[in-house]
Amino acid sequence: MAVLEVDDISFAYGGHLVLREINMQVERGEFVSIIGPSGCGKSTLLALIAGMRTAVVGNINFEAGSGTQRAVVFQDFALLPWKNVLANVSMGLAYQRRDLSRREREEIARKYIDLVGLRGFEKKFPYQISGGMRQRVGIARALAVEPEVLLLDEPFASIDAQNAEILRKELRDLVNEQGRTAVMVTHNLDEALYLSDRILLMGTRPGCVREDVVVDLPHPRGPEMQNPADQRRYQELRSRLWEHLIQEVAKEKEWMNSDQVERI
Amino acid sequence: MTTQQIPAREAEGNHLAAIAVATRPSWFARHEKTLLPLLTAIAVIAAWEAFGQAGMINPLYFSYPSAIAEAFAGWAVAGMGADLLASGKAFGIGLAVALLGIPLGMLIGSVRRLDLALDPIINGLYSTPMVALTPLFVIIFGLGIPATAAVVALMAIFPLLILTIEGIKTVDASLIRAARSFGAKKVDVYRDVMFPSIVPFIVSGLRLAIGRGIIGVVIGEFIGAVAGIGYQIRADAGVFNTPKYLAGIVILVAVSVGLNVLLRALERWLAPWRFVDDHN
Ligand SMILES: Nc1ncnc2c1ncn2[C@@H]1O[C@H](COP(=O)(O)OP(=O)(O)OP(=O)(O)O)[C@@H](O)[C@H]1O
Ligand SMILES: [Mg+2]
Repeated sequence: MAVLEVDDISFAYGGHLVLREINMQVERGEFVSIIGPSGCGKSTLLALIAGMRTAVVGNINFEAGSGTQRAVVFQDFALLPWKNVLANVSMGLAYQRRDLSRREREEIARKYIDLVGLRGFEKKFPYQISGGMRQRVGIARALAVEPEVLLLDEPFASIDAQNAEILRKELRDLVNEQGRTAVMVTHNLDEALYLSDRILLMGTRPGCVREDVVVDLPHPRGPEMQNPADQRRYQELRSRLWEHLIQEVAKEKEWMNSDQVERI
Repeated sequence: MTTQQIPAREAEGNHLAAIAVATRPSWFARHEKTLLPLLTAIAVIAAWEAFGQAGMINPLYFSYPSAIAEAFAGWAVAGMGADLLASGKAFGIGLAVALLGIPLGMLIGSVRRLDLALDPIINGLYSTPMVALTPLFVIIFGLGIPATAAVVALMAIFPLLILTIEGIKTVDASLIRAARSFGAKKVDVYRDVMFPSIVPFIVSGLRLAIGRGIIGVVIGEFIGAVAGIGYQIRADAGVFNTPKYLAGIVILVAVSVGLNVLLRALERWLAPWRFVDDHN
């Protein structure tokens, strides 16, 4: 059985349909990315999976397990400014693992702080560290609750390009080593191709899943790839994603020019 | 232009030391934050005293520092303790009641409909001159501390309430959602997200509450008390004892300055993250 099953989900914001009959399944250990034009409802879908919003119709099922179902890494980090790194990383544990003592929780948190390379920064406050480091805290906080599914909403979009590159590699290694399942929203095609086993292409008005692209390439991907066949395949996949986005944007334009707009 | 050749390392060390010495701020510059206000105050008091000594102040209408100090000393040995205690009690009880404005404001601010419903009432009451209600409190509570405390409470609660409500509205919704996604319950959200977010608003509210509370004590005691600093001020003014009357004002100023200093310490205690040194 899939670890996460999104079953015919529809969602509306105040009478305005944003997502329509979304279906998706994620297998254990899979890394799935979601790509789609701006405003198609990617963040909304992720918020639904995260339980931060409730679907109007449909179900979201997690494989019955004992642990935490999901944890989110946010684009804007969403760290608590008044808590230091250690307390921020312990946050999820403090709310969910009341059975553990504070010491035990901090021990787990320290382990993940080490894993994201922030040892020695435990007592720093978010404003004292760089954007890249803040997102490391965000990632450590999410991993620390050992979620069945790690949810990421454009996790590297607010970080400078070099740090994003480094963090992408680290995220891949972490997710691999820990055998985590992940669902990530992104606008960056190369990021999606670099990390994902599968990429869902979303359409708009209302948001829906149009295509499910399997990334059948060995790791590491991108400029590091030596094999010409792999390089070709990478370009093929990339063009396909790009084509999809172009088409969706074109549809959007057409829609905007049509008289349907008056109905808003 | 010639370039001076500096032997490596050692000379460079000297050079840097010289720059450090040359750019070091003077002793006065380093202490100007304390020295400037202090010296200004001393100058003003000295000038005021000089005018008084020269006989240029009519003692009936106004007084000068040494005369006020003398009145202060006389009052200190005869009854000031009881007056301070009475005023302190009224102020303390009133402010303690007013602190209820914080949890109340957190509640109102986080329930949109409650806020909509109560907004005009709260703002209306805030601008009502509460001192006009003092006779009412005297009728209800009789002359004494409770009547004054009630004036203080009503004066002080509204800034706290209004600023707390404002603060709650500025809380970053994405932080609340993030906390909830990590399993935070309602109480966790109030304690870990809402309260820390609004500390600056609460401190501003307290600053206003203290100022208005002191006004409340004075006005309350003018009408509704048999002891206290405000009561004495009115009594002394009534018998043209201007130096002692001004000594009462000095006490009020000192108390309000002292409370604001305490408030700054409280802020450090409530919100240590806002004062963390960048290089530690
Ligand atoms: N809180 C909200 N209230 C009302 N409408 C909203 C809200 N959040 C998003 N929307 C609308 O729902 C639609 C989907 O928004 P969503 O943020 O999920 O899109 P997205 O695909 O994540 O976009 P982006 O790529 O720009 O992040 C958009 O039309 C947006 O305007
Ligand atoms: Mg989004």
